[in-house]
Amino acid sequence: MIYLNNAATTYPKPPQVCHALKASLEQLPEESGRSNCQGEGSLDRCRSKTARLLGAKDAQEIFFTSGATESANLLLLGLSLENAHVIATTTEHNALLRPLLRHPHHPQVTFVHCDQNGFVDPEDIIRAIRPNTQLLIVNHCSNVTGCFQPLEQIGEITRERNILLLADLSQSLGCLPVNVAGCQIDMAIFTGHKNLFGPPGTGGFFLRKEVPVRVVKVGGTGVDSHLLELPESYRCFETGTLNFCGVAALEKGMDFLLEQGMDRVSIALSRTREKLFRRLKNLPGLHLYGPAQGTPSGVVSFTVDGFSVADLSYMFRQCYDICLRSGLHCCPLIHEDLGTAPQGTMRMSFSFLTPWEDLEVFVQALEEICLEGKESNPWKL
Amino acid sequence: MEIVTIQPSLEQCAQAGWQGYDVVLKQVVTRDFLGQLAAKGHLDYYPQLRQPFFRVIHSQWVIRGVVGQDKLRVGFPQGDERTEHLRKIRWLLEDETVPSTPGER
Repeated sequence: MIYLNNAATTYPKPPQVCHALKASLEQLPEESGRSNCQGEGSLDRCRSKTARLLGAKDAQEIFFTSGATESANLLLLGLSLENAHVIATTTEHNALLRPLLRHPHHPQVTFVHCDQNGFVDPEDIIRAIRPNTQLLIVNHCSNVTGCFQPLEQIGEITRERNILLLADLSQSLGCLPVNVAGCQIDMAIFTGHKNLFGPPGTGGFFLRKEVPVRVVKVGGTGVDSHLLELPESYRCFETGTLNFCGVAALEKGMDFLLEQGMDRVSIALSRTREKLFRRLKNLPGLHLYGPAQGTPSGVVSFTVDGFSVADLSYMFRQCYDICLRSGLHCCPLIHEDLGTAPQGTMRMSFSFLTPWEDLEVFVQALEEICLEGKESNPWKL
Repeated sequence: MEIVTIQPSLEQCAQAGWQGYDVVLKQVVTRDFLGQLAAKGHLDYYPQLRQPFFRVIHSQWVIRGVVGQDKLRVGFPQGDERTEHLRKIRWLLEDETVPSTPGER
């Protein structure tokens, strides 16, 4: 099977990631304060490397969770949004939309629309700001179009107006250098099992020290066990035993990226995307969604005239043994702006480790499907 | 055509607003069986793909499959109960009678 669903989770992983996961299960555990033994230190090392990849000044501003969804819930539900106005974009994933819209303080929410490539104009963000705007949520890279938003420019807008900026780095971290400090980002969520090449069940968030977020997930922290009730200022967000095996493997994924160099990874992804778009652009009946150039993302959405996305998904899997994804991609709002509502799109997504040969097989399959859709062949008895 | 199993589709979100079922058959789909299905709806057949893909479309259901494979995917617009979907699947695939009126597209 050809696997081209890396936006869901990356496959394959670098071998050292798999070895680290196995090794971690076979050696003494990282018990994080819960014993008189010291672990081998992967938690602290991974925290430092995460800070390096994020451009965070202090590794103590990095917290590990089960992934971006948990991170989004912990941050949003820990923020006080009473009488607040929140701005989000239509490119946001349900991981952020659902906890936002379920927030107990019921903030007013304005959604800023994107263009047909998934790009959000910062001027539209400015126009959406109100006197009581407290938070802006931005998906750095769309899991539908692969389009990046200009975080540095957006960070200037929010910092000037004393608005908190929460960036979703799930699809971007591991694709290009990120600088949360330089972009004046206050909070950022990330997942470990996509472009960081870690295992599922890993991820976390960056939280600038000065941002007041309450701890909403409480339980055993390994320290201060005498405190039955935690003070409001308590900032221990890593509650319960961490997935330290996953973090040990995630560290190796980060090592892999740091050895490659993020600039090199970014250039490689951009060039592959450009090459892919050049191969696809003239196929009859094919519609591509997302920028063709200057974008270090492996996420490409498309539709084909004459076929529903459910047809395409079935054909790719059953006729060509290619793994893709169809539908709304947990991102319901963007499809109104792209013109792909209500059915959504087909999505293929490659990673830094996807060989061009696999993409060539995909291109040939898509050529055949597009030509078939152009000339339907009535079946004759 | 005898049905071995019917399971909710592994691609639950393949098409928003639709409920899919993956059906395993006792035998592979043949052109004769395709003829029976075609009489119940509108057939589109794409034999030039690497595997010959077909879909039979009706306003109330869609069947997708590949000639030569022993499985199909049947989709319904969301709304009916699962038991009604299962009953329709059995009528579509096990009943060899041709409807008296042409199926709507």
